[in-house]
Amino acid sequence: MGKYILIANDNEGILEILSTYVTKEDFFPIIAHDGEAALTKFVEFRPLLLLLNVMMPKKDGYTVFRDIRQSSNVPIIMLTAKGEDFEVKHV
Amino acid sequence: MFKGRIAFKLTAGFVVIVLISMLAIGIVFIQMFQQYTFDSREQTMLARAQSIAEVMAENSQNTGQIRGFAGSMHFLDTMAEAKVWITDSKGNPASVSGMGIGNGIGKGMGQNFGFGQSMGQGHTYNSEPLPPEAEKVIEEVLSGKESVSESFSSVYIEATLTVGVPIVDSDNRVIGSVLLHSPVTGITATVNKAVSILAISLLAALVLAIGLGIFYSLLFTRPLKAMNLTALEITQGNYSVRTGVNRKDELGQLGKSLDLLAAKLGYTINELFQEKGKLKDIIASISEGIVAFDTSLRLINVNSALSEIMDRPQPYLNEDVEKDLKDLEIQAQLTKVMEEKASSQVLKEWLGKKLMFTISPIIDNLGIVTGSVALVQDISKSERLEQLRRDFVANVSHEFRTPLTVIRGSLEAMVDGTVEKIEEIKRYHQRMLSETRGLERLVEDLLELSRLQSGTIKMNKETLHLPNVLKDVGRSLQTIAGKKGIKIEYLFQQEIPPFVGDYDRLRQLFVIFLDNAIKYSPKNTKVTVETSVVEAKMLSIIICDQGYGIAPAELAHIWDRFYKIDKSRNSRGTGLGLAIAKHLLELYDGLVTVQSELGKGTVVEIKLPMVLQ
Repeated sequence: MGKYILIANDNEGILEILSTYVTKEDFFPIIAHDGEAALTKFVEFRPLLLLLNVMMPKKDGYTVFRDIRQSSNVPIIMLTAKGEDFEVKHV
Repeated sequence: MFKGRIAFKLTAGFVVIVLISMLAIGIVFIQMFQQYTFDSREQTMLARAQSIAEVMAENSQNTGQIRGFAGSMHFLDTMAEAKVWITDSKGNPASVSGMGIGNGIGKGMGQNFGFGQSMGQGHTYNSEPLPPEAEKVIEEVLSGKESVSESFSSVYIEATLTVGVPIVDSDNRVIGSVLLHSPVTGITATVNKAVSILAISLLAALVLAIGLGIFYSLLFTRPLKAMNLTALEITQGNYSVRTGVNRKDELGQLGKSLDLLAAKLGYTINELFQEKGKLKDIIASISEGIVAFDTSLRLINVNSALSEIMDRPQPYLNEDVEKDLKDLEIQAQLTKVMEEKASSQVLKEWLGKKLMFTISPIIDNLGIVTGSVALVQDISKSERLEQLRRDFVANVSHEFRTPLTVIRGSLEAMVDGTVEKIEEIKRYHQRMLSETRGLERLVEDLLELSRLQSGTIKMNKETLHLPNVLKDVGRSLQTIAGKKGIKIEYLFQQEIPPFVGDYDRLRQLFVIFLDNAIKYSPKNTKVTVETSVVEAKMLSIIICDQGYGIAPAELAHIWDRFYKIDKSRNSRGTGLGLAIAKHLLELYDGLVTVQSELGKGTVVEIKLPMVLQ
């Protein structure tokens, strides 16, 4: 199994910055631009860690999280610009 | 029923008074009359008896005994207008014919008033016995006193008088007695006459009394009845009624007082009703539901708005209200509020609505809790608005955070040396610049939206030619259109009249729609802009593209703030364009319709009234 880290985000800038840091730490960044791509690439690469954006096209981060949790306990870090208290959801 | 009436009482009173006074007068009069008649008759008879006695006394001095008056007796009877007896000192009647004791004396007056008859008998011996009361009279007379006795004779059917006088000789010895017995003629007749006169005058007086009674009772009862009617009308709530009694006496005063009472009562009640009505109207007009309970949690009042808020049909019966509120478990809150004497608020879910119950105790001016009142507000709408506000704040913060994160991340990567290559650093700089421009646009759009929403936008009015404005817009968008090989076509089929409006605002409006058309179209397609006059006074601008189109489910949301159909394709937009466009259209009283089909394109039609309000 390769040292893959899946980065799912729709913002090019953030994708590039995160990939740079992942590469620097000797992991292989796997890029997904939307939720559906994230799920496909998760099944394909079986990454060690997921950096999952919440607001994404096609499938949002929460949905992707729930889908993955049904079959895997892989560590997932949710990334979001939503930081207000009332926006915190229990997934 | 009749007995209870004043007319009867008054008349009866008059009749009784008249009866009593007439009877009293009559009885006293008859008594006095009888007494007088008796007295004068008695005096006369006594005087006559005395005269006879004196003559007797003189004669006895001559003859020594009383006798030999047979001839004189008739004369005596006639003179005395009575029957005359003369007795000796032993009480034995003196013999008229001188035959001694035991024989009656001659009598002048005949029986049965027949004068002729009595004359006939006058000369015979009269064996007629002394009248029964004579014994007593004689006894008294013989003791030397004069005596009088009254009685009633069944023979004469008349009151009779018996008078006795002693015959005294010169030595003052009683040698006999003179007795006069006579009916008191005319008394009964007179009394009868008096009684009949009395009866007639009594009858007349009674008629008069009854008449007066009725007259007076009418005089009194008419205003009383009028006042009674007035009072009854007042109890019925008719305060405009008046007694109509116009008199100067006490009844008149009572009538006036009653009229005043009605007027004052009417005024006061009217004022009270108005006050109560006002309060009732106020409560009824309040759009929030109001429901009041007494201390035993029984419903005492509810306004009509409650049924609307609770989604219940009218009439919303009290039992249903109580049941619904029981289902909402409000009862415990009501009790708590009354115990603590302090208001409280509870939020309840009811048939998909959010209801806010503000419950307060009802405290009277003595400080005693008499119940509780609940104000029921449907806060679903304000909750929705609050949710929209939260979403907006969240969206704004998200829209700011993302570019800021990119800028910060880029800077960090350069600062900590993660990014070292020159070309990489250049790319990072460019990205930061682009994100900064995006932030700038976002701030501008937000401010614009805020200005539009607050209505503080100033419009410069000038006469414009709309096709020229659209061409200007097209020119400014030519660069981005050209990059994608998109051709903008203008179709102005007829002469477009001049239009009064604000050039900048109109330009802004068309840029938003035309920019979207270019942005959401694939390369090498065509965008057409068509202008025409429709419905006489409307300008129609149709922007038609051959773009990706919008799904029907998304169509309703395109005017929402920060709504982006596909974020990955439109990373440069703020998501505020159409929201701003909608506000701009409102400034012109314009209309917009959007028709779209996925994969085929979108048609936006804007209609503007030609006369700017």
